[in-house]
Amino acid sequence: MIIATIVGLIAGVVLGFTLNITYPSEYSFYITMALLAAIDSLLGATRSYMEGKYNNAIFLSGFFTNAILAAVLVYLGDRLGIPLYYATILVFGGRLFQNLAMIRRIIIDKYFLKKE
Amino acid sequence: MKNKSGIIVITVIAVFIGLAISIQISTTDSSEIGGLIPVAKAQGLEQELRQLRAEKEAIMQEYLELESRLKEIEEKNLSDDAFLQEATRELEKYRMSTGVVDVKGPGIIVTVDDPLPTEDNPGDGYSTIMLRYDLLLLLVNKLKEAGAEAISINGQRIISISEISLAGDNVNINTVPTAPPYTIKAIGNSDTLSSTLSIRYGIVETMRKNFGLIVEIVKQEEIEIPRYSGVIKFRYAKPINNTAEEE
Repeated sequence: MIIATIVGLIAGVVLGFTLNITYPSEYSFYITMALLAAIDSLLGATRSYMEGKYNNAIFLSGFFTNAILAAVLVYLGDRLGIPLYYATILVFGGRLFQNLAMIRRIIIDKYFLKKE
Repeated sequence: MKNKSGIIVITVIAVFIGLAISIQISTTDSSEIGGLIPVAKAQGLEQELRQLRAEKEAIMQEYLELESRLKEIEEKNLSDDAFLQEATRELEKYRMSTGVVDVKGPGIIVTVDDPLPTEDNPGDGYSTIMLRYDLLLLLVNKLKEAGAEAISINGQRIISISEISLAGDNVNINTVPTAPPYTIKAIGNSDTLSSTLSIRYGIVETMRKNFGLIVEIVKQEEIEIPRYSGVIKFRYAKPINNTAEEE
């Protein structure tokens, strides 16, 4: 499972660099925040898959709503003059570490502790 | 079966995210300011710049108004006294020579532009005349040699303290950034001026042949040259009053 995620990510990065696409840099901040949310969703899906609780609908809906919410928060913050994107960074950044920790534990449980 | 579709979906999304990451990296690399500048901040700075420009414009306007009022008062106080009239005429002459009044008269207009990029020489993105701004200095020097009484480059009057120097991506004249094409106006005897410039092996030929610059000289009956718009301050130089000592 985690292999599929990593392979997919690497394939995407390679594809992006070979295609060499750019977009207007005004949007770069929105994309960064949406990206953070998307990475969190991806790790969350990997984790729940390993826990055996994975569901396509939950993953896909979470993926899109989180990304959109992140971009909207940045936009709203820009309009209001409040750095609302901090919320995105803190929440999704925190969850990123949490998900990674869970994945780590599952892997350790599965492959190292069971052998004993 | 359900698990298998999950792997496919996650892989597809992972590819998508990887794609977004790499696009983001190449975009951030290509933009000068980098990725982490919120739109609001950039807009704020832009707003500030615009405001300062407007302020400068308003102050300049006020300055010109005050100056014209000063002139009015001077003229009003001008009596029939011959000495005072003479002094005012003298003052006007010095004003013209320092470049703080608009002047007009016959002269030439020289336009200098970069060579057009050709297939053999596509250029390296730099402006020839801006890199070799010393050519502009030479040109101004030659004009002065030919007896030009007032010179301006792209609307910047050349006075005794004017500089022409490369600063970053701009050539600063009177601390105002300028860019090609350069229009150099000079008031004086138009025949003398133009023949001094276009003499064989002269400055214009050097610019055309050695640098490929596009130089054109036009003689005109009447040219207007704007005043120097900065402030002339003497902080170090003090006049020496010779006459007082001699007496």
